[in-house]
Amino acid sequence: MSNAAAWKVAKINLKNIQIPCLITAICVAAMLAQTSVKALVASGGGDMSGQLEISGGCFLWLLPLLAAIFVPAKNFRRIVNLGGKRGHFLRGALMAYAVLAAAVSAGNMAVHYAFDLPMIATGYFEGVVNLVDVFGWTKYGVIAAFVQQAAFLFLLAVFTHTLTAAQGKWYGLAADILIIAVVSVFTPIAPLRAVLAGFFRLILFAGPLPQTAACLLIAAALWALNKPVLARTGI
Amino acid sequence: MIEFDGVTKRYGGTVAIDDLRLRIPGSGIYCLLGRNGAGKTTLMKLLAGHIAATSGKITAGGERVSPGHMPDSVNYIESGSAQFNMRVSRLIDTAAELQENFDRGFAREMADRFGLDPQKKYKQLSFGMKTMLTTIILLANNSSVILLDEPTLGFDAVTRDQFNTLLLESYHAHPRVIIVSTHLIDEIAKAAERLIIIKGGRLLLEADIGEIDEKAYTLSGPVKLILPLLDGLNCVGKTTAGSVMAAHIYDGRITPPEGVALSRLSLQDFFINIVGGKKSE
Repeated sequence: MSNAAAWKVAKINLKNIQIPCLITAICVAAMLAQTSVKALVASGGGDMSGQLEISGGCFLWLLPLLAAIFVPAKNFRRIVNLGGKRGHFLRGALMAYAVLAAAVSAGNMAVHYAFDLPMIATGYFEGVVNLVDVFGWTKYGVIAAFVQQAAFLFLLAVFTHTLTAAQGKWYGLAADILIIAVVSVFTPIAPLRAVLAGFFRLILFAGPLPQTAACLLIAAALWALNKPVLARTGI
Repeated sequence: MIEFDGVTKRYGGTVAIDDLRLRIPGSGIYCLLGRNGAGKTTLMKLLAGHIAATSGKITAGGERVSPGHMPDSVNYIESGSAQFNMRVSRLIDTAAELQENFDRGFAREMADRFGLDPQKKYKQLSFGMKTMLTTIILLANNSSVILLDEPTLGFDAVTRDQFNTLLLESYHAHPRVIIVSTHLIDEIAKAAERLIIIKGGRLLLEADIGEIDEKAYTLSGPVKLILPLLDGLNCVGKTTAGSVMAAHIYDGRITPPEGVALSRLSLQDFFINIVGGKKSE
C-alpha cells in the first residue's frame, strides 16, 4: 500500500474539514475577543481581578476532535466515491490527524506564550487557564509541552474516529455501553476509581516520555481496531 | 474474469442476492437488467467490495473481493452518491489524485463535450449533470472493470444518445468489462453486447444481445392456430384478446403457417415478458 496514495487522502481530508475549521475558528476568536475586551475594560479602570479566563487556545482542541467525527462520518464515502481505497483512507486519516494534532499543539503553544502569559502579566485577571498549563506540560519546556500536547490530541482524534466509525453497528453500541459502564462503575468504587485515575494520570500527567509513549501506544492499539471496523463498513 | 460463486446477500430478513452464480469471462459492454429491487445495485456493490456478501465467493481478475479487499481492477460509483461540494474541475482533479489509472485528459474533454461548467460546484449542477459527472469520472478510470449504475438517470434523449457514443468511445479506447445497469433497455442495446437479467437476486438469463434479437419474436394470430405451435417452443409470455393471441417466444425461429404473423420482439418487450410474467389472458 503506497504512502503517497495515503498522503493524497490525508490532504483531501485536510482540505475538506471546513465545518470543523469554522466552528473552531469562531470559538477561538470569540474567547480571545472576550478576554481582550475584558482586558480593555480592566485597563480603563474596570475590576476583573476575581475573574479566571479560559484561554481561546484551548478551543483549538475542537479541531482534531470535530475532524475525527467528520472524516469517518462524511469524508469516507466521498473519498471512496471518487475512487479512493479503504486502506488508503485509513492511513490517510491517520496522517491527517497527526498533522492536525501537531498544528493545533503549535497553535495553542503560540496562543499560550503570545496571548495568555502577557494577559496574566497585566494582572487584570485572577488567571488565564490553558490546558497545557493545567496538565503541567509547560513545566518541561516548550518543546516537551508541544510534543505531549500533540501526542494527547492525536490519541483523542484516533479515539473519536474509532468510536464514530463504529456507530450504527452492534460493536459501536457495545463500545458506547462499555464506556458509560466504565465511567459509572469505576467512579464510585474506590479501588476501581484508582485504576481510572491511574489511566488518566498515564495519558495526561506521567511526564514527557511516558505520557507521549502511552498516548501513541494506545492510539496504535485503537487504530488496529479500525481495520476490521472499516472492513465491515458498507458504502 | 469476474465470478460470483453461490453469492447470497441478506439485509436483515430480506434476501437481495440469492445464491447467484455468474461468470463474466472477458471484455465487453454488459447490460444488467432487472426490475426495481431485483438486486442490481447490490450486485454492483458486492463486486466493488463496497459491501460484504453474506455467503459465497466473488472474484475479479483472480482476486477475492470483500470490503477488506476492494480490488484495484474494479471501479464503481453508486448513482446519486454523495460527493464533495467542489468545483467540477477540482472534483475531476481530486479523482485523478485518488486513482492511479485516471485519464484526466479524457475526463476534461468529456466534461467539455457534455457542457459541464468546470467552475460550477457539484451542488449547483442539475441531477442529470451530477450523474454525467459521476459517469465521466468512472469512465476516465482505465481499470479493467467499470460498473455504471443507472448512468443515464435524469438525461434527456439527446444526452442519452451522446452517452451511448461516450460509452462506445471509452470502450474502444480501453476495451474492458463495462457493466451498465439501466431500465432504458432498447437504448443501451445500441452499445451493449451482452445482457444479464436478474430476478429476485438470481440470474435469469445471460445472453448475447444479437442472440436475443434472433431468438425473441412474437407469433400473433387466431388462438386456435397459435396454441398448437407453442408445443416445444419456449413461450415467455402470452396476450389474448378474444380469439386472437400474441405469444412471445424465446427459441429458434419457425416458419409460421398461413394466418400467423411472426414479428420481432423488442428487447424491452422481451424483458417485460421474461421478468414481469405478462400473462393477460
